[in-house]
Amino acid sequence: MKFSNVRTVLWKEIIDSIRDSRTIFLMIALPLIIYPALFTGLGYFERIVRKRQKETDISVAVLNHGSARELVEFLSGQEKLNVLLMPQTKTEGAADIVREQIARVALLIPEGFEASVRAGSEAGLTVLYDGADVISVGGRDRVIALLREYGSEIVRTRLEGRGLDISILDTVEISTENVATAGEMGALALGTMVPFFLIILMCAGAQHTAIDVTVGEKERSTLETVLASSASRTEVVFGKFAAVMVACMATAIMGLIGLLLTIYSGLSVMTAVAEGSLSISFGTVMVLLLTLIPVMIFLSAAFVAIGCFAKSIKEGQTYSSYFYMLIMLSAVVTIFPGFEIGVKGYAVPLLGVLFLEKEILTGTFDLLHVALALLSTLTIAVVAIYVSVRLFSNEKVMFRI
Amino acid sequence: MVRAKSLKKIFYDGKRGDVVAVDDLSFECHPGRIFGLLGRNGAGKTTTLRMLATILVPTSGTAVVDGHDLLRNPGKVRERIGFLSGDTKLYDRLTGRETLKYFGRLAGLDSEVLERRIEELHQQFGLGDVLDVRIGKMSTGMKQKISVARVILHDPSVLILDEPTLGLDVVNARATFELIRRWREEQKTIIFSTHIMSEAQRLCDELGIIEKGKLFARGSPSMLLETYGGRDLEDVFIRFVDAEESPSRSGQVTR
Repeated sequence: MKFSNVRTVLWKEIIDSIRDSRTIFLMIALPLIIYPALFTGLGYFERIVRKRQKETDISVAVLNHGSARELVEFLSGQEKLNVLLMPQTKTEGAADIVREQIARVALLIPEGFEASVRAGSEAGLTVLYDGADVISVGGRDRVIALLREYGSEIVRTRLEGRGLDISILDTVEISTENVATAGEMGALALGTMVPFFLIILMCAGAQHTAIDVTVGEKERSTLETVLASSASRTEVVFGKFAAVMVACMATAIMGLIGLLLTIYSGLSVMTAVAEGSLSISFGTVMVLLLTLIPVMIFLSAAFVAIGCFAKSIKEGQTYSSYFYMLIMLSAVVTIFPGFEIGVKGYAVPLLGVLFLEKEILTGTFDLLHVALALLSTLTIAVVAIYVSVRLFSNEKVMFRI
Repeated sequence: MVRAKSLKKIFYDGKRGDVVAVDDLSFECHPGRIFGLLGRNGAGKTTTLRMLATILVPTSGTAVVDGHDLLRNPGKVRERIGFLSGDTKLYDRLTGRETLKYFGRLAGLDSEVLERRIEELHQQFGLGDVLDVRIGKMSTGMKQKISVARVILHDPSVLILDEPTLGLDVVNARATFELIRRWREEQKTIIFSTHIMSEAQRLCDELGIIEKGKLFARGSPSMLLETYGGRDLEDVFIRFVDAEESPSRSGQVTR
């Protein structure tokens, strides 16, 4: 194999790719904006939702209010709570009141509620809410807190009525303290978000370029031109594979630059959400990038193999989308905090490296995990390269109609 | 020189099973000569030329191109050929100059030789400023000029041309004929395919009439006319096609 020919094909594919505006978007623009959008945008919207939940007036429909005059009076005296006294005395139609948003929350008072309270016995209450409506969920929490406050008041009155000191209720006072530093909390947030989105970005960069340089050439009738040149098929396919790898790496690098910009520009409002501070060193970024190389090789070779096999760009995009979804489904487990894969899990190609990325971000990586993750992923990367070379050299595949 | 020996190509088709595209094809073409493969669409011309260009591997048989067997040494064969067909298009996003540099480097030309060759072809084809325009923005005629320049950039001794005038206007087609004649004078071995009889009659020193993958007749245009009769090559060709489609009449052309 002449490496000068591989280099020539690689250089040509890079020039050809960067003159395609879609490549520029996928390789540079998208990776640069994805993390700022994620860490800034999501945090911003979550804060708005929380604020709305806190500040919005909640409407509470009270059914059979005649059985709980004191409770209704207590609720009516609360700020940002609109109490709607409903004519119904039965529970029928209560769900519709919430579903149709006549009120965000409904409170069902059983018959004889007040009499039970006076008699010193237990009295049940039911709160209806809409789990698909965040304001309703916030309203539920607020109404339950108020009902607990009302219940505590009843207990206080009962104890005082019996001449007992209410301080006997104070048994254990619980206080919690988070031993994780702000940096560690931030690392947890990074470990949750970064590996998953990095692999999505790398897939996007590799997929587009791989389809363009393989089946794209078939469709544009330029493949025979290069096959009739002096370069061997192995040299041509290695050049194409290297170009896809460059696209994949460029996407990952741009993604990490976007992440660094987000963190160090102070744009991120995820800090508030993560209850920590986001920070990442340049060294960590380099280690992340190096450990991702086997993944890049695998993804590039796999997408090239798919592109060689496909008969048309449309078919290539369909097959590669299935592969993309498979990768995403495997990678999605990394976004669940607390999900661990054990030592054997690190020997699962691709997945092992993604969990290794999490470890690197949280600063807890184990050398055995590093070896298992990198070796297993490198192994399937080599298999994927072999398959792509075989497919490219097989005229039955390359010239099938 | 090119010597094809019993070339055969069978494709597998899901619906039709094994399809014989080229069947036991043998011919020779010497330096300074043009051998034309004459046949209608789907006769097996392109498959034959693709095998000679090492793009497809023969199911059986082989060919020797400029002293190299295409099965044993396909790389050496590619170094000695220039292949042009309707499926050897150029990259729209590269300029003419980048295209020529790309294929020149793949052909192993060093930078100095490559620059000199590009300049020679620039002058020869009158490319002007077009050389630095992206292929996608060029006219069909200009694209054809760059394609032809790409084919002869590394000065191959064998030229394999599959329907080289397809899609060209009269002026560009005529210019292509002139080039092919000039290459013959330069002692290049030229294998040429066409379905246009007048092209074949005017240009080729020797012709092979191909139908359903088989070579039915071989000889110079004048010899074919003399042997099989008719006003021109079109008459000869139609007689072969009729004979193939009506085997009972095949005796008329088996002289």
